[in-house]
Amino acid sequence: MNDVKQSLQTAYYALLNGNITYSSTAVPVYDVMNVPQSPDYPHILITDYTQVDDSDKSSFGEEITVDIEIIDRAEQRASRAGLFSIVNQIKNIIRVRPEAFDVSGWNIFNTNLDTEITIPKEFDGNYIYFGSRITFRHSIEEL
Amino acid sequence: MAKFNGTAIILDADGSAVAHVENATLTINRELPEANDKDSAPWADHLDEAGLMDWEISFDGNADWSQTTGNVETLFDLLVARTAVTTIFGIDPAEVTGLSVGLAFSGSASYNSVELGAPVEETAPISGTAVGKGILNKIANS
Repeated sequence: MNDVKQSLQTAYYALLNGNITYSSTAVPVYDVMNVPQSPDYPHILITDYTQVDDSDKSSFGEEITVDIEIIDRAEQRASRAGLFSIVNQIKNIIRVRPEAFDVSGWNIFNTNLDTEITIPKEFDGNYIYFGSRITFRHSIEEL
Repeated sequence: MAKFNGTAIILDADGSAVAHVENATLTINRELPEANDKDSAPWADHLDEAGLMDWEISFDGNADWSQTTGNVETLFDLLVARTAVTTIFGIDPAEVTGLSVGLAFSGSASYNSVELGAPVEETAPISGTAVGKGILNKIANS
């Protein structure tokens, strides 16, 4: 049984990076462990995974969830229209039919929006940070 | 590829997909006429080259009460027309990445039951059945 995370994350990056815009500017996509010291805002993070086995007698499989966070900031008050626009674009890329994912060695045959929550705002003395966390759930078969 | 998303398996009645279906089931039956006698006992026996075959489709989903475009009116019209229509149950390759041709079953079916619910503060449901009239063929759906 192989692990799909590396292939899946590469696919996520390819689907999202350069394809999400805000104010005519591409929104950068980072792995949560590889965020620049001074990142652009807003930006998209590929964060947490959960996996459970979903194999049968003929093939290995699993259900995997992927958390995508969108982080923005403002000095004081801010509209969340930009944040919601980015969320909308991500859903239109990831949650589509037929499947957006065509990953060698894997059959990703179902993608659902598992949950979405807005991240509570945080103030660091200079900026208010706010965002959303989207969890997508995939059903995957190893080929 | 061995696992498929059930969403991509479509119920098509008279040329159009039945809208807002949540689940559909195709059941194919074959009668096995008994051929038990003292020679076969104590094991049950049946005739292999006899017996009727039949098929039916049951489905349920959300009811669309819009006039002229809703699935309630569409299925009601199919039922009261008292005419069997071409019915296809199978995978739609356009819904599956990397699949150009898929398997589907096609035959003539009579829509003989439509059930409509009206629960308080819940999504209005619809369910029904169609019974096959004659042969059910397997076809390549592309």
